[in-house]
Amino acid sequence: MNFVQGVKDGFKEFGERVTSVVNFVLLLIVYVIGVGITTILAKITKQKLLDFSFKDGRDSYWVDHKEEVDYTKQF
Amino acid sequence: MYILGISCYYHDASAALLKDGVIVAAAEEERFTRKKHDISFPTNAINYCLKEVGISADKLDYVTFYEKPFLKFERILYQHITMFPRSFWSFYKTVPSWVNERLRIRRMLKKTLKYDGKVFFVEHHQAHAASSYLISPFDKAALLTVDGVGEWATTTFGYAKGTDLKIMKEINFPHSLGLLYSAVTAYLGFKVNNSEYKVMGLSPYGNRTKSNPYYAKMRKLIDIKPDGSYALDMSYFVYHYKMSMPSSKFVKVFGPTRKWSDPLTKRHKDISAALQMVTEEAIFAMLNSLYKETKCTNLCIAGGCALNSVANGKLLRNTPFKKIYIQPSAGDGGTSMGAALYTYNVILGKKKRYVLTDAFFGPQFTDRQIKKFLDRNKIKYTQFKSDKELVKTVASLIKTENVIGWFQGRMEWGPRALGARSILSDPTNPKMQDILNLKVKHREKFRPFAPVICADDAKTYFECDEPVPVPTDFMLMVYPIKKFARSKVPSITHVDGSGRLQTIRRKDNQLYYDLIKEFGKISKIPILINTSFNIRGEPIVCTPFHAYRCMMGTGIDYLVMNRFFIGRADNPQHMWDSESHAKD
Repeated sequence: MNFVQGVKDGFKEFGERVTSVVNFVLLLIVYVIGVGITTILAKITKQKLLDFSFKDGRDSYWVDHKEEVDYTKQF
Repeated sequence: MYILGISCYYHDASAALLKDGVIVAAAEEERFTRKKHDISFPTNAINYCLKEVGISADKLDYVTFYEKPFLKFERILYQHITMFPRSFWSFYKTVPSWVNERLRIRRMLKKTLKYDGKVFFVEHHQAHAASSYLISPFDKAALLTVDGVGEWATTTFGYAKGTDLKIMKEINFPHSLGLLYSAVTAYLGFKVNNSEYKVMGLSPYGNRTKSNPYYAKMRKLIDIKPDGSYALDMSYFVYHYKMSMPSSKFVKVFGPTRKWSDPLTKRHKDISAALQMVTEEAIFAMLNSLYKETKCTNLCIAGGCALNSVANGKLLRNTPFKKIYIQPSAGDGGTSMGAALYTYNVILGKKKRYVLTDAFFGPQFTDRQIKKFLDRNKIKYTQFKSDKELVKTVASLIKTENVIGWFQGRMEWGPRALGARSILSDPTNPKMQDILNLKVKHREKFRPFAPVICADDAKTYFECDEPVPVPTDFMLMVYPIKKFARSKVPSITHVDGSGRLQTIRRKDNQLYYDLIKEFGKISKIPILINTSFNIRGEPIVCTPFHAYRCMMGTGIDYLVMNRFFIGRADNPQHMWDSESHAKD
């Protein structure tokens, strides 16, 4: 019984490790291709996606809030 | 009309239920799963809310989520794009949960609740603002929300009148006062999103003047404009692309990072003091600017930074505001309530508003349920015949160095124990801080315990604002203890002579109020120590089982559940050592 359970646990652990490796590889591909290419495009088009400005001479860091009125949307 | 508000997947998942605009139930998921700051979908909290009013999910008219998930995901993708390739590890760790859960709220509602009705998505900071203003006693107020980050916004200000609530301006990620506080919390060896209050508690030990060598250094990290807006120098931080927070440049300037097991030195204390000073400076600047814009003397604040009770206690003295309101669960846990209220009053345009005066929205247990639990587990107990007998006995036990587990009525909403799930003891005993730490809490020596006092006695012992602001009822304001009283209540007096008091009004919790008054008759000081009823590292207790287990695993001497009275020493068969299992 212990042997059978041990084999089952072993297979389960093996399965989890395989899943973890597959996830890692898939996410790496998505990251390199998806995120990487978008990064290159953003750099070419000089898109500023995050504002890191600090002491850049402006008088205020406040930005106007854009009211979102469609509350059924998730964006 | 039933509206369910939900918040989850960031920290402190919770649910709140409104019936015709009145809050009928609200609770954090952690209290049921026993996992502190549980972020998972709040199935247990939702089920509790529905059970409280005896309905099933198909009777809900609306469900409202506390943020717009796709907008937040957009910000996360922008972070990865901007920080490519350094953000891979963070991408690998976080993106799967977004794809599997966080972007599938409707599917989750259908799967877990079988709910297929209307779902609204309110912006994170709108939910925060609503969670404070819409339950405040004000008919108009200036609004300030400050936290780590929502979708994009980290800080917002606005104005509300009647049921019209408008966010006017915001500061966006990565600039965040909340994340600055969290980054220093991590740097000082404490747990982020959990132990920011410890850094706040450590700050009075440091140099609180501008001669503090770390003040100037801390001030360099943040640029605060005269209009209260601010920006962070992001070269000191890595939280926008890593799972950690301060950068190597931060470590170079402030010295080596503290590990949690390292002793706290003067340097750590001065850094925490500098952080608290800078935080207060930024908040006061924002509030002074907010007043100039709104010309309204009522203030509602929310967000994680609204739990900074040291800053809260100074707000009315450092700004033109005359009245302040903060709800008991001012952090993300409170946004489920805010989302539900926003739906009722703003989206649906209902004019009737609910005013929140106490924090008791959680589960309660009848005498029959408690007796059944005690009998089934063969627990020895006695039962008081009257509340008067209960109050007299417990007050005299507290005076004779006993630690009492106090379990009465509905569980509190928010992170503080407010007299429904509290541990009570004697603040006049100079040894009590050590006794409580040895028996139950095992917490850092630098942290004093919090006092509870009847609202009508508060001004005798504390230098508090007049009239005593409502948030003081929720333990959200720190005030100086009057000099004559400091030596009389050593266990609740912080090193700077302050105390994070809770005030209690008889109409909100009669038994608790009477107990404090009775203790006052015996000791001549009508103040008790009130600390949260939990095992170190666990959430506050929710059920009679949790309360009994906590007493038997710690050194609490007696447990009072409704009128049932249980002694630890009378039940040696259930004793265990919680400390050997505790995790901070």
